[in-house]
Amino acid sequence: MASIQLRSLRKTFEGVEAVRGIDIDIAQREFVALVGPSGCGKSTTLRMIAGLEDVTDGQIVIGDRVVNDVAPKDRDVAMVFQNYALYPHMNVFQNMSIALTLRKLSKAEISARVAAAAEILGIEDLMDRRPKQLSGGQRQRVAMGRAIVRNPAVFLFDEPLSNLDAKLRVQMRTEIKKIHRRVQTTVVYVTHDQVEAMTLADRIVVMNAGQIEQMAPPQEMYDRPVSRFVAEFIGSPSMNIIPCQVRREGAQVWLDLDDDLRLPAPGGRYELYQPFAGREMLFGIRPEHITEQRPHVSEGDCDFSADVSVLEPLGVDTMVFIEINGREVCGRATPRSVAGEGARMRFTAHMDHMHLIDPDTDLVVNQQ
Amino acid sequence: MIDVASLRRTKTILGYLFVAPTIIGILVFTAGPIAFSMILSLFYWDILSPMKYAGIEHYRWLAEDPVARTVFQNTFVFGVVVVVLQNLLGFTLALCMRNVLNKYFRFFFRSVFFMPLLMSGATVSVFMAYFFNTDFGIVNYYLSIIGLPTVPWVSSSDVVLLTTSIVYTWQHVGFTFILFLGAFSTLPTEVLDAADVDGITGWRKVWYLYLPLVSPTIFFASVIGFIHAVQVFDHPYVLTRGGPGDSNRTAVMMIYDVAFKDLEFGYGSAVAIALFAVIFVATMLQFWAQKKWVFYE
Repeated sequence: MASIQLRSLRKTFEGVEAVRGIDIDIAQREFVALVGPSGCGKSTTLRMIAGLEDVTDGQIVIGDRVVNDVAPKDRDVAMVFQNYALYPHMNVFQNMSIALTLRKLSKAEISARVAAAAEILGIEDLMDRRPKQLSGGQRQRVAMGRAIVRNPAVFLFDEPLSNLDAKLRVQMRTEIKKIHRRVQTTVVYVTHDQVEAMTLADRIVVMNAGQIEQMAPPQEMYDRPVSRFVAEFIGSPSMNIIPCQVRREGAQVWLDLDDDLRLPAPGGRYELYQPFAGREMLFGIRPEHITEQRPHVSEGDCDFSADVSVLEPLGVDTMVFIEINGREVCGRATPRSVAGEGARMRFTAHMDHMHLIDPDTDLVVNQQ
Repeated sequence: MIDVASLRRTKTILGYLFVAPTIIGILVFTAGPIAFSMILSLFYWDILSPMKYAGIEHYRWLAEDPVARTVFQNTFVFGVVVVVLQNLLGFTLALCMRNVLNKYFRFFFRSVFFMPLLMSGATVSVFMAYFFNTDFGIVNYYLSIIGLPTVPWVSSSDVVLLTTSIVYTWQHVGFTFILFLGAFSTLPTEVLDAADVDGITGWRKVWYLYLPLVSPTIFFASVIGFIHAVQVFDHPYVLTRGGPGDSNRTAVMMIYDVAFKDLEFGYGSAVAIALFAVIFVATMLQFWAQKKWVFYE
């Protein structure tokens, strides 16, 4: 295993900047997920780490050596691709062993390594099959097996679960987590699926337009997004963002969402929000922090009424859609508590979890 | 009320009408001549006299004719050599173009390599006859400049078939080249990336990846190339008129000589049917063998 450092990494494709000078330090054995929308530069970053793309500027350090000019095969990395990238003319054993054969390892060593990886992945019975004779899940396992047998310093995953159906994706997600625990290798995992990133990674790097928006452990990223982009990208359904007017009454700060609805800012943040008094800001709150009316458990809890426009029952919870200030707002209520569509209902906003976003910078007002 | 049966009948008749031109074309220009040729091979016929039944006499002649044996041997060797040369050169040129040259050069060379295919075999052979002339040909001139012995390209019975193969390959390699270029452009990029990471690079990449991945193209180029090559006429005819001796004579040349010079249309047809049998068996063998070496995704 090895650490990875990306220093001011930059990549330009015919004048278009795909990656704009990013810095990331990845510790040994750490599982880091690069996440972001299509075209944000996450796959390009991964391909630069693998050596499949030249670096325009900056440095990539794996372990203690700069690998900018080192060939992919000599970087001691293994990569798992979205479309599995298995060699179609080779059977599973050959697919998994080819890299070892080329390194001139002994046959006994190759067999032992392949058998060990096959056992971890539960593909011992598939050794003689060609890729076309395998299901999507089996192909993905073989692709991971091909990476594991090499015992690399770094594992690189490029959207490995994107081609699998929803059920298999959840299953493979768990398996990847178990495998990481077992092989204890540094992992860089690219995905556009924030659920995958949240569930797998020790640390998430959210990328947008070739830059890093935020780099943090999953829960911190969820609880304390630094920007509107991260706030909306992480979490499903995404965070509600509603325009509001910040108003100061004495020491207290209020957020006027529309003519009928004003909510108090949490007591601990008065000082933080006071400078924004009189300004149009954005009020952000996650769906699970707008619930049916509940007994107040914290100082920030606050009740309000609204008309229910749409209900989406999920079984465990029901998503409740209401309209505030012309925006559709999503809340989360227990199934038995919800009134029918069109009915008026009492809600509790758990304001301790709210975020105030400056629309000029799209940055969340720092809660520290 | 709509009469469903009548509608169905109209639809069927319309369907037959649509395919009729193709079927008539095949019957008149392909199946008909083949059948006629098969029948003709069983008769003596010189156009002028009435046809006379010969049974399998022409096939017996064919089996006992030493010239026919040489001619079919030449044709088969020519077909194999051309297929090997075309595949080797087409593959190598396409690989170079893919890996080495930038896109402007690629466009230029793609056109250049394909251009000879648009010329007639006779024209190509006329100027190639000058190139390969033993005494004043440019090929021998350059060989002598670099200190190599000159080669009797068109005057030696041992070399002339190879010369014809080279000339034919020079003209037709553009087709194989384009096929391979197409095959390379459809190779899965992720597989090639995986190979880079796995350390399959350089010649290993050619052996372990390119060759197996483009094997369907090699197979296609071999089948088409062989069928086309064994029907060669103009190159050996223009280069040496089939000589020295019969060393450069091919099956189609023999058909021409027997049928149109000697006016033995029955025997000529028998040679044509024999050539058809050779092509058929060779193609079947290639299809049988491909199961062992061609990989489809």
